Amino acid sequence: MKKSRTLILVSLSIFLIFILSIGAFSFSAKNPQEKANELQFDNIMKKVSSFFKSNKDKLEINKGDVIAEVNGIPIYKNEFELRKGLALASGLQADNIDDYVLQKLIKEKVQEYLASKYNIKVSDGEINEYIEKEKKEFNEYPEAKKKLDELIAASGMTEDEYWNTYERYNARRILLFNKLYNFIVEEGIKRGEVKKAEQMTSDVQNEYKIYFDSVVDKYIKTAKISISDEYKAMFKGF
Amino acid sequence: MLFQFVFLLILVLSVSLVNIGFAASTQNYIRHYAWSSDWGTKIFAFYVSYSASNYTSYPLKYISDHYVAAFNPLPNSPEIGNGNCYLIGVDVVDGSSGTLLGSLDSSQFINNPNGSIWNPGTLIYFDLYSPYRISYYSTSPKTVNAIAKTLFQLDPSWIPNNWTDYTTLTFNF
Repeated sequence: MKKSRTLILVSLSIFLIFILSIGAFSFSAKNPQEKANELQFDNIMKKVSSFFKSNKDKLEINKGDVIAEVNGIPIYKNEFELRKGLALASGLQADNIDDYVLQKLIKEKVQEYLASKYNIKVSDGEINEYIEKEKKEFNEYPEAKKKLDELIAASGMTEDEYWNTYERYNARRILLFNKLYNFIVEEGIKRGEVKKAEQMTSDVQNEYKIYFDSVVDKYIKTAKISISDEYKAMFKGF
Repeated sequence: MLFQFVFLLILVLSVSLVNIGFAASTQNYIRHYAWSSDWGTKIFAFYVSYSASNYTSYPLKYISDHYVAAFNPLPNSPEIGNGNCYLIGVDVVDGSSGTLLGSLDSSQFINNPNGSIWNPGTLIYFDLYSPYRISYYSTSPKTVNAIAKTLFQLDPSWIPNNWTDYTTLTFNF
């Protein structure tokens, strides 16, 4: 009687170990590239959230000193420092990070200038709609939602602050620049400078992007850029 | 009389040994998330569709006529970009042992000669076809997985910026 009970216990233990080993195998089934990508993302998010946590004031984009003006459109110190901080937290390596970030913002301000020149605007309603669409996408993709929630929590922001400050800043630029892009490409097609494509392929999209960038670059070259006196020493390339 | 009998016998044997092919297809909704210091955390979503046919010529089994396409019906704004998707190839593996039975690389694919029909505004990464057959020896029914491997790449300013994705078509014959 005792012998058979021991035998049953031993068999059950072996079965349990077997099941656990299969379980462990399936839990570690994520492929190595996925794991490496996740690790890379997590590492950057740690630095990004730490930057947000100690620089919440930088989210007030249009406040603080004006460090430069592009065709009369100001670049505020807060926006510059936000973008610089995020670029550094993301591991960006540039010979001169200040020049790099300023160059990027100059391009964006030239795009804003062009948008206003062609009377292209983005309404609050459009921004809200874009943000709601994004929220829905994250809610339907639990893995990404979890990462976003972790970033928001570690940044010391509320969800509302994230969507209505930082993401609102992104959404406005994305929508405005997208409208400008569509306008410039359509004009280019009308003028015969780019061909209207039957189907949108990656090659066509790249061709349109190159055309759009070349138009913006032309305006950057002729843009009136002035850097405030106290910041002149910071930007060696200007 | 004898000739007619032999002819019928050959016909019956041929029909029983060669199965007419069947086509199977699948569509994989693929999503990735990435971070950009300029645009924040964004989701990149697209589809990979894969169809192929299977048939038996006893004792050999074949998987042929591979159609693989990657597309995005709702592309992002070009400022964010939609990256690029490339076909790496197709692997056929035994469903139970995982043994590789055969493979095709991207050089064995051509542009889909039939041309798919796309909804307006769809971004097409690729739409390819391969007439090459992957054959293996099998005397009994088994499950095999035909796996289309694709590479999705974003601009290097995104973190992370490349993923290998797998779209699996399962055959049981």
